[in-house]
Amino acid sequence: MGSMGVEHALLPERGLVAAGEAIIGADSHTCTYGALGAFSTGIGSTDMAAAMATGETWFKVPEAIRVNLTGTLPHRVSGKDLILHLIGMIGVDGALYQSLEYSGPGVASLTMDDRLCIANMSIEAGAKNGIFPVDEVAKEYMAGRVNRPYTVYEADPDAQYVRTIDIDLSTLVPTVAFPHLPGNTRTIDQVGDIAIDQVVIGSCTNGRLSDLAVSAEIMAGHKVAPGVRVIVVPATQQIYLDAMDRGYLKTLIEAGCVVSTPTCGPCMGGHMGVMAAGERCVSTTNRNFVGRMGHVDSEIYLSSPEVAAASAIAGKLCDPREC
Amino acid sequence: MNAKGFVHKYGDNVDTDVIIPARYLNIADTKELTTHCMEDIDKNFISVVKQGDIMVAGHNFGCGSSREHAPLVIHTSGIDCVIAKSFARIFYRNAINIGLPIMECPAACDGIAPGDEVSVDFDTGVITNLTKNETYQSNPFPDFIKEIIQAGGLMASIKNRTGKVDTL
Repeated sequence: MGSMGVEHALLPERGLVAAGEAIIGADSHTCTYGALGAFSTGIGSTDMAAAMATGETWFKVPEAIRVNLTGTLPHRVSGKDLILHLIGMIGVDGALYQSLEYSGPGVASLTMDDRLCIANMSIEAGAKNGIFPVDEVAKEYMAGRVNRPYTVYEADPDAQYVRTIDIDLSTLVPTVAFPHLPGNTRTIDQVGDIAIDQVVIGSCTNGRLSDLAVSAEIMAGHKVAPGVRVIVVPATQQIYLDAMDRGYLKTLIEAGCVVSTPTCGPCMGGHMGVMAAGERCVSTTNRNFVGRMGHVDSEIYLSSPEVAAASAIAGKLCDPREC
Repeated sequence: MNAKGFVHKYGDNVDTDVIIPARYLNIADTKELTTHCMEDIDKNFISVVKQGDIMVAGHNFGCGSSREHAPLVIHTSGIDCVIAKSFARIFYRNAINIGLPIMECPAACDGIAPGDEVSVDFDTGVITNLTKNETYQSNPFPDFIKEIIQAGGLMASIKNRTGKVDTL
């Protein structure tokens, strides 16, 4: 128990998943490992048991959508804004049964934490998987973690795509998914005045070290707005330790946040921060369906850690570029 | 293989959190779990659903979690078939794996109204609206999926094929 963590943060961290592997997991966010260049997808528990019993499973080879990235992300804009922007553009079934293949010169500027976040939420566009090329950033991440040979696959130069979506990273702005669908997105300038009761910073989407780092950076020297609960959940014990060593947790606690041991709890209304009727939460998690975090009359606004931290201080949805 | 019953109809993007909310997932008793089926989207569903009824919905039915409880409680609530314009892919697999027949048919979903009596022929893919006297053509299941559903799910199907999974 002392070495646990949120699955999709823990497995890459421990080198248990690697480039070129075909990975199935009985959780829908298993697609996270596409960030390392793996084919990785979620299945149900009977599928999982059958695969373990027989060593086989079946798949239909998916068609692919090419997401061609150029430019670099502006200050206070991160991978979460990119994936929310994409889901908002194509819809929550925009990649149904298909593969989202992230490519282009913009990939090089994305950190592993950004890529893990983007691959993680590919399922929220209906995708079977999301996959990144294995470049130096990915190889460096796997070095010292993955202690077995891995295979680097590249898309064929003449690969056929059902469509290509071009995104210039430099044009992206902080983006929020309003209740009750991840595709119901608005850019931060269009959110209006949304007062909040709770902020959650964590999960398999955004509970990694860089997420805690930027949250601490934004909240340093500030206090959480009165009446707002801010729950910070490092996704693994290692992230917890690193965030402690680097002083992020001290900064966040001094600002008035609660820091939890690694858990999936708040993301699906299981444990901590279970929402009451009429409450609103800004959350760095991945789903904002009706009743997901508690009462059916509560509301979830999905955002980056940057937006979440800025909103925690302001007590309402807030543009992190103004902090 | 056929189904025939009255229709409960929903819209697009019916997600697994409203089909069976996460707060009930620690209930191990299927009968008790089933009493919460569709609770967050349709409180009346469980009191009005009858054995053999059919569920009809829009696009992306079952999006969200990989929780197998979702098709399971729909099946145990009495629903014999779900017809949707499209299904989220994990739900699609899960439904087949637990023995719940599902059909993709946009025309049927547009034509069928709540309360209509509908029959489904899984061998031909023909969906008949007995109330409106209309038929809609869906794709019949490929043989390997038909075999899984007829066996009552993937576990039973593997057991039939190999006889090796008694310990499961």
